[in-house]
Amino acid sequence: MTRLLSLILLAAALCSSVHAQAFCALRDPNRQIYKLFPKATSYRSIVRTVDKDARLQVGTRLPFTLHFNELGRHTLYIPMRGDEILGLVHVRSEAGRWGLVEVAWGLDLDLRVLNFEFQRCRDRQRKALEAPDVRTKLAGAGFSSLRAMLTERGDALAPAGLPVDAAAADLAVTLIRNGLKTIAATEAAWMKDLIQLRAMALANRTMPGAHALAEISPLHDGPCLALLAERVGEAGTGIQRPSSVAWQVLDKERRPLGSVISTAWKQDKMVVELICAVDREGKILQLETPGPWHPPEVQQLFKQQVNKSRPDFKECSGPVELATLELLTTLESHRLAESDT
Amino acid sequence: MILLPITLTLAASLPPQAGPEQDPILLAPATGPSWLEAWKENLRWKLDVSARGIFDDSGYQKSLGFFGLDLHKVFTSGNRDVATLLFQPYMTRANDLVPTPPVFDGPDDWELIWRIANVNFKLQQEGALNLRIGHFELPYGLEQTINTNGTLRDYTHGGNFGLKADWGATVNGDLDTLEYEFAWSLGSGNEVRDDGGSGVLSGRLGTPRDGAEVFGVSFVDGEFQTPGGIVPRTRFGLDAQVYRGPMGFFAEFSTGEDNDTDDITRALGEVNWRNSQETILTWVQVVATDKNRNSGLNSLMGVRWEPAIGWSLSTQYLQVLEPLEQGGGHPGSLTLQLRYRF
Repeated sequence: MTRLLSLILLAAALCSSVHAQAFCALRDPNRQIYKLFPKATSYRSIVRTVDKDARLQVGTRLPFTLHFNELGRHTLYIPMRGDEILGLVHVRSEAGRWGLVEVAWGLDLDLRVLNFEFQRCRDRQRKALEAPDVRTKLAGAGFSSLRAMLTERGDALAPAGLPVDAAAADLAVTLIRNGLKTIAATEAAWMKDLIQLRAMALANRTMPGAHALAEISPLHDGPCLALLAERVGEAGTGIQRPSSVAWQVLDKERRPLGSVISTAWKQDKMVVELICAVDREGKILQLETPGPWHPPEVQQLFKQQVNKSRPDFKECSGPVELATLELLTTLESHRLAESDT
Repeated sequence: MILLPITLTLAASLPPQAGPEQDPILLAPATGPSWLEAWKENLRWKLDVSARGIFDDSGYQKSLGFFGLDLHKVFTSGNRDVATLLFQPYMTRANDLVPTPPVFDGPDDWELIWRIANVNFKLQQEGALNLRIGHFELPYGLEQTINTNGTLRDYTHGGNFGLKADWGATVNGDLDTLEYEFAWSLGSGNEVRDDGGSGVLSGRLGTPRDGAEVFGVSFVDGEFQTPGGIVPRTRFGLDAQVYRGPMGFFAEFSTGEDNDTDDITRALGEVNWRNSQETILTWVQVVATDKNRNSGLNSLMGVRWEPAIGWSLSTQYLQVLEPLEQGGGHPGSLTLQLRYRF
């Protein structure tokens, strides 16, 4: 009995979140996933905790935030077509006029809306929100575009909000608030997963046969730092090393096909997210700045580095080239270590 | 059997070992995840404790206490989910529980009660065909789509079958406009037992449960293992849920036989209301039963309130308007329940 009590107390102390509903009520949104992604052949779940920190993070971006009942373990679904990642599906509920409204959002990996499906909505205005012109207006909308559809206080439609009549306005606000919270909560609780998913998607696009990723860890080990010091100097290039993550890309037989590195580059007050795919010979296959929010001229400068390899950077002409050289050197150090063994 | 998932779950709550975070599903980790990391992946669990007091109009009091684990885990392989484990063992304490349900050895007893404990394997990725093995609710009537485990609100499984969940296997799935579940089970209820019956076939075919109107047809046909011996039972059922605004209007009708001799027809009607946050639910039920032309009529009124995260307070009043059997208990009783999940 004492042992049982100890186990109970230990368990209670370790619990970090609460839920009022028993888990037998949980059901995957099967129909919604395949409606949102008709080409999907399977999906997989990633369960993470939406905690108080995530709630605070959402609250800093919006005039409203997650209700405490919305915290706890939640699932992000990844629709797949074979090894290809098609996007994300995240279901969140929102208090509507007639009870909770549950919406399944189909998002791309940059968290832009592809489409949505009501999983549960007992409001008579549901059909108005499912109209093609509403879906068209929402397609492609990211956080900022969705936010612009609501007033500053977030409790009414902005003049350029959704094309619905007054009767459906309440449900439209509920839908947009739900979408905003979905995007913000996904970023807050699944960011590490998103970075890995983007890396896998880039590997799929650039390396035929890519099947899995294996994290290179530690990334900035002694030999890597020594090689970086030799090639790009001690001062740094603006690449944010603590936020850098890199993976080896493997085929189905676990043979290496190349590498992907995800990082951020800081120049003055500008921070640019970068993701770069490099083949086995050290040639850049793709160098992207995820998301639509980075200045086009910076995106263009990084795009110009594609198809280059390290010998092309013997005489670096600018900060973008220097940052690219650092990425190549980081990955090369691990390729050298791999060939040594 | 019970200790393994509990031990794994408690261990899964410990801080991870130092080292890079690995996602063992999409990614092929350089060093491979430990068994503990793999178990933690896609795992949810809560402890669930509740106390229930029942007071009848003669002043008699009885009570029940529940302490259990509610565990949910999705197993994945490569890029797909392959199975879901649901595991809900509850230690249950009965005090002065008269009349005593057969699951208890006496009016004062501890018993391990299995609510749900099964694995649902995906045989087809779109969700159209799954195989469930373990302990599950008989797929029948309103109970199939509205989970009442651990709540005061209840439907007709107890009255119709003498049990809510059973051990066996089902095929189940979601089609475009329908959902279904068909089961074979032992008919023994809480325990895995074989007293010689042929088992129970049951099933329900219905429209998707998330709609504003939900309709289903269901059946049960088989031999149930009861303390009095094997009891053959058949039922055919119809159920409906219609939601309008904050109101829900539910109905269930079932008809069939017990022991091949007793004709039984039962009808349930419910009107419920919930607030927009769904933290308050109220319901009124009327249950009419006809057994060999003897009729019984019960009415129930209840409310459930979730005042804070994890907490649930419920009360329900049962009024027997017309007893089915003479001397079948007191005409009125009030039940109170406090529940906390953490």
